[in-house]
Amino acid sequence: VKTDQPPSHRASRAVLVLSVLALGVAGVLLVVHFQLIDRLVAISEDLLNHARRSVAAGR
Amino acid sequence: MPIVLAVLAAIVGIALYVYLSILAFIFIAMPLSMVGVVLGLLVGAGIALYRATAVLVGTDQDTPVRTPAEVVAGKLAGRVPARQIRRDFAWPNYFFVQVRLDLWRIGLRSAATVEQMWVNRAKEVVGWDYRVLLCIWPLLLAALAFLLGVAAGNVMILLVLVVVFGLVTGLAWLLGLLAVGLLRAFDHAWQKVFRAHASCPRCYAVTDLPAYRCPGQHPRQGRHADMDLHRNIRPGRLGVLWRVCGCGRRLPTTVLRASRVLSAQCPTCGQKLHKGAAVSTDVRIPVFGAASAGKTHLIMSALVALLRAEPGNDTSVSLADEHAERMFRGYARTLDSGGSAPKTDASQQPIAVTVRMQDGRRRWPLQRRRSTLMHVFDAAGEALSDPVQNARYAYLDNARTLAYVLDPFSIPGIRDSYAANFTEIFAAANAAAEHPELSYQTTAQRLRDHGVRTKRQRLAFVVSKSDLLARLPMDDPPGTGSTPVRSWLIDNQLDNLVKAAERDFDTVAYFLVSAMGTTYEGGAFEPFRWLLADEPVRMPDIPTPEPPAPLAGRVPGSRAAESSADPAPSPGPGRGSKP
Repeated sequence: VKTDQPPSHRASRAVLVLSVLALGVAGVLLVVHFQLIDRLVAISEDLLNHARRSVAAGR
Repeated sequence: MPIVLAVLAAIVGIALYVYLSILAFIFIAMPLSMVGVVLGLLVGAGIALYRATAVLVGTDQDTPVRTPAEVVAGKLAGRVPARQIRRDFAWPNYFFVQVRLDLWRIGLRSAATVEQMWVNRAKEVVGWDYRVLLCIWPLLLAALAFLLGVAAGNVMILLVLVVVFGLVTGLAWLLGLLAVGLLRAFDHAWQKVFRAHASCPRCYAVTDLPAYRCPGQHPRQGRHADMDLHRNIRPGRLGVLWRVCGCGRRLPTTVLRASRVLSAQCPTCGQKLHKGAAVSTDVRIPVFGAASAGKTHLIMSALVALLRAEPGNDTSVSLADEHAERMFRGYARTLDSGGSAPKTDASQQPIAVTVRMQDGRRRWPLQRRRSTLMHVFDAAGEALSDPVQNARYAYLDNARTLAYVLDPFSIPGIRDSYAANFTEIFAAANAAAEHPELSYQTTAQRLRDHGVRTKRQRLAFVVSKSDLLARLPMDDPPGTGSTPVRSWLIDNQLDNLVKAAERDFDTVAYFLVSAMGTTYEGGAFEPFRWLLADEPVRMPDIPTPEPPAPLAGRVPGSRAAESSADPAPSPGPGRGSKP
């Protein structure tokens, strides 16, 4: 590991690493977020259809 | 017939091969290629991320680094002002140059790895038999898709890195520029408001930006090459709040902060400057006049009076350097023994005698105590009269305040009237031989020749040797205060000199002083008090001397009344003035 560079360089590089990680985490969270929404929409539609069928059956 | 059969068999074989190939393409090559692309993307992304980590964590030993030595050698963008000579021996800010080198290294290393994969696979395939190739081409297609995926994944991650690095660097630049602007503006505003400069007592250079020497560990040859000297400590490319010297020592970046912990030096001649230079109010007072006019005596008496007084407020007065202490000891010894000052050596460049006035008040915690450095320059009258020598006295150009000393015994009217009958007094006065007007005009002309705007300067017009003057039985002796002294000069045919002084300078005040005393009552400090009154200086609370009785009627030989300077001379008619 290079040790002759000043601590400020290491700190700046750490900021860059954290930024890349933050971007990755944000990307994953975004994907999970949209999948979760899709799943919730599907569940809602299922429930709605079930309710409609129940109404149609007169129950 | 056999030929026909052979051709037929070939056609069937080719058709079968094509049929099988189509099946292999659909059922083997396509699915494998899809998997290959996905795998390739992941591998390519992994390669780029691995390379980025190696460079950023520091395990990649071959990453190019912009070192302080390269900074000194000029490998940093931007113009270097001529007075700075070269960039300082310090690490450049990471986001100014190193981030670009790191990103370039990540790109190069990633591309090299991907290229190596392509080259290795191509070399393997080229060596294969064509029949093998004809058999396994669907697999090769999948391998090709994998390699394309690797390249695409690599490029994608590199693009993401470019965007992230660009955003972080842009943000760092934005905040950095803002901080640099604010810090520089604060430094500049402080110096403007408090008229703070750094002036070299030896080469007379005046600057707002002294050079600072790093106290860290530097090799001897580095010190000889001034590698430890930081000529531009201001925030910038080499650091915003702090900079790291090539030796590894962390240094503050603004003049205000650097002056507290670092030793300042003159950027022109390398002379060590006073502590607080460029942060303390800087007042330069050249004293000029004919040889034997009493310049040195005036300075001696004023400084001894100032240093020996006990200020009524919490402003302390001290000598700023070793030279000043040495000079002061000589001054005090001379005055205490009642002797005369030795003749100033015309062959030597005058060195300023510097006094520090420190305001003891501190209105809030951590507030910086304000201080003032008063530099008094005393040059030999002969040197001032010599245009070749006085051209080197650059301190005259940079002063806002000057003091002109006139020997009343050199006024032709006084000399003609009394010299013959009062030889003893004239001998004691050691009267200046040069005509007062000539001694004034020589320096005034020198100032004009060097483009000095004297109309912005204040002049204390000091008539010296009042104790000896009091011994002459004059019908119309000079009174006390600026106006009477001015009138007395006009009455003694020095109206041209008075007019010239008032035409040349913004404000002129007149003083009648005896410089034989060692206390404030001698009045020798009064011209300096008046000159300092227009500066942002908290003066030590030293009482003004009591106005003495009129000179006329005194017993000849008495030297009790040492001054008749106006305690607080109002510039009166001298201000900008027309008689």
